[in-house]
Amino acid sequence: MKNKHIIYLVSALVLTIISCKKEGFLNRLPLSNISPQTFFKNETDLQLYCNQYYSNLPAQTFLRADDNSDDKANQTINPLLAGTYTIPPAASATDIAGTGAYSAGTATINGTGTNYNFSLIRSCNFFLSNYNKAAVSDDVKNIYVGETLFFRANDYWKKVKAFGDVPYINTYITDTTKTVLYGPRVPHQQVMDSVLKDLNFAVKSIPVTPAQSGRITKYAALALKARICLWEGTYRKYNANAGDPAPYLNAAVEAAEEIINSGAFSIYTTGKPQSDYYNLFIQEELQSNPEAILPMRYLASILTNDITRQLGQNGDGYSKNFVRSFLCTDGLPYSLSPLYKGDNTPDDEVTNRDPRYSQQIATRGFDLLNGDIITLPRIGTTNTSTGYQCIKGRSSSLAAWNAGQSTYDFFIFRYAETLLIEAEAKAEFGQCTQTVLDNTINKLRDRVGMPHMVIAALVKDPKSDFPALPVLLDEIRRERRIELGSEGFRLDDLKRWHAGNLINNPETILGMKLTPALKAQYPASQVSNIIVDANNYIRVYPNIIARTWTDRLYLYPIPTQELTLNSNIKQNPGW
Amino acid sequence: MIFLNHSKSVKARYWLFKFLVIMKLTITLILFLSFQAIANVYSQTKVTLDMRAADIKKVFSAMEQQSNYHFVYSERKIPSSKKVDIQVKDTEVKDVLNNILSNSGFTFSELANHLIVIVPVGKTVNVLKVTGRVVDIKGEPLIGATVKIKGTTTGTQTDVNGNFTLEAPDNSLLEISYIGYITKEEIASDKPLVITLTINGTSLNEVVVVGYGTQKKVNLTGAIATVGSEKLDSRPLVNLGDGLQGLIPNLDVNMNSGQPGTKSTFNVRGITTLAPGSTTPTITSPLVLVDGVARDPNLIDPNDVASVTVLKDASSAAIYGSRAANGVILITTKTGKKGPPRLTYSGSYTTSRPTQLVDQVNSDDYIKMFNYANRSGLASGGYTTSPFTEKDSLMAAAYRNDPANNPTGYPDPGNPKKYRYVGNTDWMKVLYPGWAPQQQHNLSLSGGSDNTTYTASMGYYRQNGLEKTANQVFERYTPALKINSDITKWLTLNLNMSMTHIDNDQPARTRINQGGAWLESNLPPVMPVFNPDGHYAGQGNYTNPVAVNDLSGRDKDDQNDFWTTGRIIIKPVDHLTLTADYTWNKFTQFTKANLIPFNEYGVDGTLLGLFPWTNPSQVSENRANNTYKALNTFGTYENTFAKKHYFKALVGINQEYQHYTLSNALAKNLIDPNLPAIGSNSDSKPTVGGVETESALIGTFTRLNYIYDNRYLLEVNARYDGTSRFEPNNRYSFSPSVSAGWNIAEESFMTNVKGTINQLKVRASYGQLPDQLTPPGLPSSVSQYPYIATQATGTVNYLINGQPGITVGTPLLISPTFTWSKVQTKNLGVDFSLFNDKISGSFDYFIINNKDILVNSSQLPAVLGAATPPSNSADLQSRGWELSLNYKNQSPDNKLFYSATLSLANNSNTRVTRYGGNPTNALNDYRVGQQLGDQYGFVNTGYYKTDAEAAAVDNSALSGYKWLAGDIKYADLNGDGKIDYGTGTTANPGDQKLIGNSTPHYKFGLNLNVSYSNFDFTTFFQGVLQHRFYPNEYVFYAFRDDEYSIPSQLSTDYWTPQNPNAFFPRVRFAGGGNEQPQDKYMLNAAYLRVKQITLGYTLPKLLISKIKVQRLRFYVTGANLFTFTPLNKNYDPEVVGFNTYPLNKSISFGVQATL
Repeated sequence: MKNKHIIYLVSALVLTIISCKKEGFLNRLPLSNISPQTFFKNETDLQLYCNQYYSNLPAQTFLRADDNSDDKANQTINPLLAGTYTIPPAASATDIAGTGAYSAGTATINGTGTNYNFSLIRSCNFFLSNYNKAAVSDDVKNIYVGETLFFRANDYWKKVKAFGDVPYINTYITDTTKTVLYGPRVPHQQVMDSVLKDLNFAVKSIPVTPAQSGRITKYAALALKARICLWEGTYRKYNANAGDPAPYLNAAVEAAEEIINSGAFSIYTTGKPQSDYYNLFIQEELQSNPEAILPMRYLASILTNDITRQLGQNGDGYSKNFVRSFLCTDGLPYSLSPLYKGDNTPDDEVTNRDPRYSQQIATRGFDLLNGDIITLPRIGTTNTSTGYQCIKGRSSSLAAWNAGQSTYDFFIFRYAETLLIEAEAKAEFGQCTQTVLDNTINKLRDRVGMPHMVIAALVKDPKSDFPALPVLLDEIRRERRIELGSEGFRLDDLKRWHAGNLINNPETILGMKLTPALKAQYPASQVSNIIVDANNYIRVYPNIIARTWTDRLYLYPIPTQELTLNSNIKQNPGW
Repeated sequence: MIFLNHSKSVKARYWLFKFLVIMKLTITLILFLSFQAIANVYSQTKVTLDMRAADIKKVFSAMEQQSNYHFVYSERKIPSSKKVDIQVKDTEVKDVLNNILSNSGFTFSELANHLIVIVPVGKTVNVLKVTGRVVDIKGEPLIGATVKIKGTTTGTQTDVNGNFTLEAPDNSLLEISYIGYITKEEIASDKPLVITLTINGTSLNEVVVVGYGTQKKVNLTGAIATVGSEKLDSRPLVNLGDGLQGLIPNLDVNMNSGQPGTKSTFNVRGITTLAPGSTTPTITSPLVLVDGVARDPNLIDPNDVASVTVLKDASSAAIYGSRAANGVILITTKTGKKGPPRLTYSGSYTTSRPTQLVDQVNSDDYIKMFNYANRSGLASGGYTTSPFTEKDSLMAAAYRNDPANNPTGYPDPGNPKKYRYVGNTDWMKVLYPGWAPQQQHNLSLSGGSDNTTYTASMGYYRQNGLEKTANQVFERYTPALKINSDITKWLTLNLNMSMTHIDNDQPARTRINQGGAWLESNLPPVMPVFNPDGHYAGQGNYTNPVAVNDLSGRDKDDQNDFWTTGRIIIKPVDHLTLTADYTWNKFTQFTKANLIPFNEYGVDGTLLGLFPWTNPSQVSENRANNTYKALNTFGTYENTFAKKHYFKALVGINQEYQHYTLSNALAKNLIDPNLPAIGSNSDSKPTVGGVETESALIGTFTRLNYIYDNRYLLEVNARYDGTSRFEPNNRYSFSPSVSAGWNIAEESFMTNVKGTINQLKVRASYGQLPDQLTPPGLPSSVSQYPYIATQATGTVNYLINGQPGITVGTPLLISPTFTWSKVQTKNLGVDFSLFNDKISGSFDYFIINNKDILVNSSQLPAVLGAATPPSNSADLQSRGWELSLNYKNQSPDNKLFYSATLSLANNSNTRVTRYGGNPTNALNDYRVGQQLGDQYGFVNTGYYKTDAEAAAVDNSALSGYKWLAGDIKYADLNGDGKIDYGTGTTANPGDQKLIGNSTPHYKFGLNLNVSYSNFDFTTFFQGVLQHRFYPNEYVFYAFRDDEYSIPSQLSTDYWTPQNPNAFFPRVRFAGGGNEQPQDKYMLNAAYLRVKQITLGYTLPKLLISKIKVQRLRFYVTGANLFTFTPLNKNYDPEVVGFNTYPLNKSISFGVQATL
């Protein structure tokens, strides 16, 4: 039969198909993914890897910032300060809206941006054990090593602030049986010494002008160093057995002065003391702003944010205590100044006060949105809890308010902070001369038209939060509180000053005075539920008179699971 | 050592490679031998025999095997006592016959077709022209029935009228057979014959499709269930799953939602696995093969399906190895039958509406509850907001009482640009107002000549979404072509081509996380659809969905799934069949979605700004492209030796390859937002992305069947698989299985009761199948190359050189040593059939051990900074059973037929038997001994009666606010004076205890069928007898999340001092303390649903034959019309879960016609 030839043919074909497939048929490698074996060839690779760190930059968005401090009293009470913060079951647990219930997810401790998550540390360590493969000069390599150490230092510092002693991992772990995973917590001082070493390397190796705009500069590294060293220096000074503060205070001064002396930065002003401070935070372009050591840029249709819309909402509000700390225009506190008009009406309260008052808090005449002018402070969930509506970063522009469309830039490092660091660190040494003040604090005061701080003329505020503190330091701390309001520094400051008990002050959860006469001017819908105390101050939390600070709150608890998995890890005191 | 290491163990690979080579050689050998056989046989008229004292019939049979002659003789006339001695070599058959028939009283004559008739000497061979007609018991002609001379291949098929003509020797035996009917024998005569065949039903000769072949049902030893097209044809179906639901015990079909285009998901026997990093068990999906090729069953036209077979246990699925661990569903499509062209049309029109809708509160209850919640918050330091004012309440009441003369909103005194809304909108009615249409049409042409059959069909299905203003339209086109040609006796070719095209047009609401939900949050009853001035209402972050549907753009999906399979079947010698098929599939998907910004307006049309979530304008295009190629080559040898030893062997190779690419582009700031053209944008940097992956599988398999005397059955399967998904040293897996059965009814001691017990079989099987752990969903690099640590690319939300920084990430920590997990099944079953098949059924009991599941092997300290690498370190065990019972009967006059089918099953008693990842036995993770679905919770002991009573108990661990009268009083189970979670472990669960298990039990389906004369009636009940679940949703708990979650009417029974025995506690915003899992709120979701009621009428033959129509049936079907459940009506018990697009209940009108 002829057909058998066809059979032979077809069968041969089938056999061929089968036989030509070899073991190789099953070897399939990724077609669209980068793998470590072929990466880290050149400078671009180093850059692309380091780019991932940049989501961790501490940009100051003002959003619900300082809700965990005495500066603010949000409608929803901060669970830590309310005493309802519970120990997270695992490092991967998220506190759902401060209810104390946890779900899986990335753990972020409410309001701190900190968590017991070491993935950034791991990313940094992976870089450090691989970057050497790149065929570029050591100088170039060191720039990116510097960037890596910048972020690692910042992350460890955040962990130290939150947890105290923490395990210190500086190698890339691939073997999950290694004892390094099960080590004890490394003492605070020792971790911070490593942090300082990392920072010094970063400062040394990162250039003033980076290869790409937006990358970290030498000055940004210095600004971080100044910030961290002031924190650690004063922490050591005010907290028992915390170590020698001097090297850190020195380092803070050294870093701050290197920035100041560079002459590259100055305080932004256009000569309008009543609006310059407010306008600084609604800038479309901070890259060329003299006050921006490092800005976070936004560009229309490329990268935009939604912060402007949310600012001034969320039932947020400054506390009475914060508002009282504004000086009067004569440079004296409300307790001493004859210019103080009292606080029976919102208009009285802002009269003759530091111009930064009306540039941070919505007062009469403020345009909230596209011609929506404030006459009475807005109260309620979509406005403010206390009547002191936070407007730093909030603009009346409809374009910026449209969801997710704002292109206002944020500061990551602002020169004003550096000046405040310089003044405070010098004062801690007893080296804060009038010259130092004139070069720092008084530059800030000039912008808003406030009288200079003059050492000789300083009078101790009888209502000071720090009655025992020397008047100069006291006033420097006040200046810091006012200038950096809503920038998220306050709880860290209280911790380093060992001043947690300021939280106990009932005024920190009171709002503005809502007298019956004032109340009558409001539509009922806004104020019908507002509860006031005997002096007509708004009580944000009707069920408590004051929050209670306990010393365990200086540190967050370690997630329970970490203690179970590693018996070398012990829980923080009081938790 | 965890990190990737390529260098080790070449040895194992070598060994394996060798094995594959051997398998290939085996196949080669078989093929080669076959050619030899072909070469020898088909030129043969000569035989070689060496037989002593042999039965003469055996000699005939031996000659038949060696030559191409067939012998016809009468059994009665040739005595078996006639013995012959014969020893010949290469001798002509005719010479042999002359030799052995000499002096025997018989002679022979040769007819056409190599037919040799043996007749007594003196009798001439009388060749008759036999004519006849083959009909069923109703007298309807059976078209394409086979009529042949028994023992030969000589025969014919009946024509359209059931008639046949055949030349056959006088007195020879004719065998008349038709698929699905009992084969009959008739003696050839010159009188016209009328042969009536009866339907086989579950009976002995039924053939079912099994892996790479078919098998008689009576000889099955594995757990296999089959459904024929008759169960699917009688009504319109959304997809195949819709039709299979409840038909096969322990085949769970989940419709998921009623949104057009939603795919059904399937699960066999509740097989569950765990996934690394997840605390929700994964419900596995079986391998679905359509005509032998792995396909998505949701993409085929249910009208094209001829039968569905489910292979439930490891032994029956073993032949499919690598991907069959979770069961196999074999779908066979309809094939053409020989005869003149037949044109069949079936079409239907369906109108549907949601099965259940949430009953939302009206504005009165809403305002009351809202303000109550706010008061609760104020009194206890909990969540508060701006409440409704007295004026709001008055205005709302006025509108409720007289909507015509009162406004739905008035200017807010605090912000005169915005309205305060005081309307009373039933959003459910607005969104799901009435009935939505569906229609389907299927036209099929089939037929064939003697050698070639064909079927060509075209299906069309169109469904409009239930959510009216969304205007969703889903369309499916399913053309298919199937050709089968017997080129020669030994060569068959067939070609299957089919294509599915889908168009799905829906609003772009899905793109802004607003789609698919059945009820958006922040959709309060006080908000109207339109402001008093006529603009769309909204004024908020999430405005009303009617506006978004109308204004925000569309999301269009276009899918093409094209399949071609070519198959060659060679039968080189008797008993041996060689098959090779090659399949090529191309799946493409193109999705295009655009967002259009639109304005929001306040009082009197004041512009408030843009609706936030559709700005800026954008258009995105996604192109997915998947190529799949599969090659199967296998040989089957089947023979019966000495009449008692049936033997069948199968050896084959299976090879699959998949290549997937995805590219996507997104451009913002369109020049004309209403023209969604991706090229017309002013985006300075449009986003592009892409994925490309490959995967490959090779498997070699073998199956041996042995049956002794139809009584003792044995089947052995083995498969050796390799996959590209694992590291070369761990990528191969061997899976054996064995099953055996005993046909008790065939035993001699059963002869007396054979009339009563037609069939009785017990069977047992044991097998192990590997699972290559393919995660569901579209392939990604991580899912296709799980053992390779890759560095993900992306962007960071930070501008570097004016653009978001491009990032190359840190590789995951990966253990390269993981490999296949294994599913072991032990199955014990019994099949029976009684009273002439009137009652039949089967019962199976099984134990499934799911071994070496890939999970995070152990918990590691967080300082590692990465997820724990997964390893094969968990086991699950489940047990279950399934029962199916059939009853059928008919009246003596053959006018009334009735039948009932019951399926009842229980599964999912799944326990964790090994788990390394949870050393502390934390309740939020799996733990050894745990039964999946276990729910821990508190014990509800009523409400606190006074604030003081509430204040006396420390509930702070549950919620930070102050507890008040009307909050839930949980039992202090551990007596420590406070209510808490303890350490959240089994050792210290605080005041929690096991309050129930959420696994459904006892799923059933009951199908009733009655036909009388030309009427037919079918109804189908389906349900679950036991199911409890904990409803953690805001339609259950009022204001569960915050003020924006809208309560349902159900939650108006809340605690007040006047209503102290309410079902719900005091109303709070985000009242987390009261919303703890607790015994009181474990709901009973058992249900019985009337899935289908169909009434059909087939027009009498006489009437329609005049218009040349063979069959014409009209029917009306109601689907999901009635549901009985103790569950509250906010939920559909079939999907249990809130915020799912509702399922349909529908009424259809249809017609089926055959020309």
